[in-house]
Amino acid sequence: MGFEIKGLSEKIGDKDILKDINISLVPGEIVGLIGRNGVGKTTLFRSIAGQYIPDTGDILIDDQWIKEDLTLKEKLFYLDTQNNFFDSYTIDKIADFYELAYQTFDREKYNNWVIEYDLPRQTKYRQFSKGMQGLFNIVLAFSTGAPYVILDEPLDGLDVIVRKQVFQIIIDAVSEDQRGVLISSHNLEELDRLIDRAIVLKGSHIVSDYRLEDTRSEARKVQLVFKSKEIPTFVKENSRAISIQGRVVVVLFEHYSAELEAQIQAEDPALFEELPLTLEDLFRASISAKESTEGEK
Amino acid sequence: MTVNKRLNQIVWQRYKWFIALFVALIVGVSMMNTVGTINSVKDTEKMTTYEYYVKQTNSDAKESKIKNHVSQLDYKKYQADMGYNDGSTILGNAWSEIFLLFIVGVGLFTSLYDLKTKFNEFIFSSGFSRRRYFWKKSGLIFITTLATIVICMIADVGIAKLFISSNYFHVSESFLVLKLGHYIAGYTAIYAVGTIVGILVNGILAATITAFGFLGSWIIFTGAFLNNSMGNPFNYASEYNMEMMGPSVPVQIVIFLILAALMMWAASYFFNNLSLEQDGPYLQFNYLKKPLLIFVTLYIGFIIGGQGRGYTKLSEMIKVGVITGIITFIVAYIVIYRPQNIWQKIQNKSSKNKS
Amino acid sequence: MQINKTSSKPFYEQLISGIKEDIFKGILQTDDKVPSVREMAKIHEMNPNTVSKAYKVLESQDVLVTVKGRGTYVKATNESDRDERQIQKVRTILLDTIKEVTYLGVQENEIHDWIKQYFEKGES
Repeated sequence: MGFEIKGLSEKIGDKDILKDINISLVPGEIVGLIGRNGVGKTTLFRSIAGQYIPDTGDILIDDQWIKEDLTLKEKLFYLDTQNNFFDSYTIDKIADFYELAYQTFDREKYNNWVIEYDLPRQTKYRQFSKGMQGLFNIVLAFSTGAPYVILDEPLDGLDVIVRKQVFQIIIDAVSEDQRGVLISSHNLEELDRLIDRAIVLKGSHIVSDYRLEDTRSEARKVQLVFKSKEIPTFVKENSRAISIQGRVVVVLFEHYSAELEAQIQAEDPALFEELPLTLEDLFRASISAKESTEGEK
Repeated sequence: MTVNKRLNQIVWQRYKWFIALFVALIVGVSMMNTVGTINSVKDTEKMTTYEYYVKQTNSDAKESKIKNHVSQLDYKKYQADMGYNDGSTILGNAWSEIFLLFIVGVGLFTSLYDLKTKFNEFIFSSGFSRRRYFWKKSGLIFITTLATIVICMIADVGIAKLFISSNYFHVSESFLVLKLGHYIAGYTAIYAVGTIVGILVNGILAATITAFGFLGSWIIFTGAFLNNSMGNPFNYASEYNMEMMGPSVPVQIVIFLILAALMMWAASYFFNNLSLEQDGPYLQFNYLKKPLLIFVTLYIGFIIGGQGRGYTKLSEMIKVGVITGIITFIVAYIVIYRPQNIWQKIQNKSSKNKS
Repeated sequence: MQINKTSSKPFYEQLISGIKEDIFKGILQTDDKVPSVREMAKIHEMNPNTVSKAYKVLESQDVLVTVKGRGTYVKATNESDRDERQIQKVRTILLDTIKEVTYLGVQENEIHDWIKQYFEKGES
């Protein structure tokens, strides 16, 4: 069971946008795809969906290759929020198209949501407010009955109330229907509690894949000021830098241990303080680690 | 529901209003044309009767002192002079230029509408086969359009037979059938041109210009090599002309249908391999740039040079062909490659060399 | 119960201590039904798997009990059921903390005040 992206690479023109991407997603899991703007998140989604034709790689859904059986794509939902045909249709018409494309489409569920969230049925999609559009997109995604759902920036530009509603639908779908959700967002704070895993995409590769709760129990973010100007080598080797300002260094130890703590104490630091670890820190750390290795080249 | 049924529904939901519009347009134009033809024939009938014509010709003959008697005047010549010899002009007027343009437009629409309104994104993300969608869509749009045209043509002929005196309109059934086949084959080929250009070329304006440019040159091409009257394969003044020049109508029908099948097959292949990231200039498929440039250069050079506009010498034809080819190459290069990209590449290279 | 986004503790640990705190304060009482995993996830806009992990830990610690098809309940706390090992562990942590604060110059009565305050107002 599961949804797997295997060895996906994509070039646009002569430029490598994605290189050897491997991602897996199981039912009931929420995976966050994070990366800076223009790093290829949307390109990845479009390649998965089949809008782009990747140069290499394929998708495995429940242990079967999509290339061999195209109808497997009924198990996958992806909505391109920038490029879709919705504008000139009413939401019920849009739902009609999706009902034809997904045999598992649950009309009753769809109707209930439309009533619950008071989505206007006679109005064309383009006349919807941004919040209503965002809400409808989520309603549509989880009405199709597709076990694997890809959401590209689903919270972007939504107000607090709508965001709350979107969260509720996602949590319901995951806990009740065991949907697997791959979600991208640049708002790391919002993703922080929602996702099981965070996959960091940088410079066309995946640079990290964190299981957040495990990482939180293993990793430590600490603020250090050492007496010497040099940062001790064991710190450099075992941690990723989040920020360095003068002699104040904030580092992330991915595998923190009592020995490491003892080693730090032995250096007799002027400041040794543990700080709360957020998704943003993990993101910064994995990105800065990559940059430093690139610098070495 | 089976995949087929679901796909039929999708295509129908998406295109029903457009198909209704196409049908209404065809019926409207066809009816207007039929009424116009009948009226003009009736007017001519009033002014010019056969008796009047005989008298006039005799007096002309007398004036020019040529012994040309009415008895020698054959009926066919009379019809030819009147311009309504066998009814084919009645059909020819209605069903040539306007519908030619219309059918190309429908072909372009079939490809471009889904591309530009981002419906392709939906289809490509779904579990449906792209090829199957392509054939269903093309089938539904083209078959209903063509069927309407055929029905209108038959109605047109029927009305003409009913309201126009047989002095002016009399054609054999076999001729009509042949002509109908000729139109169907021709329209199918033209539709295929619109469809494939709409898939290969990015941008509504670029695609439209390309389709019409290709079609225009193609008509010259078929005019020259599949010869028939006036260089227009859709206008046959008489059976006489068809017999005299170029391949016979049945052969032309076969050629059109083969061309149409090849183009539609290619269109389905390209649609199946279309990647939507290419917002590139002019072409949707980068690897087609070079072949297209070569093809266009040879094709235009060959047509203009080899068309034989009064050139009797081979050397003259080659000269014209080469000059046209060179001009075509330059223009096509600019259109296909967009020189600012090349200019940027040159700049990048020189700046790389410096560093 | 509050989940602190800026705490360095994993969310499921926060959830565990939060529920324990609620039980201790009497907000949750024996045989009270706690929100389902889904409801709890929605209340805190949190990943359901995280909630489920916390519940599992609490069940293993005999704090909660799940009755199939009915829901999750607060289990009766029995004095004799006290997990002495766990208590010892926490006690060591507490004593270490006290050592640390006294080292930092905090006086004994100050620590007493903190503890008093906590039990009176529930401020941490």
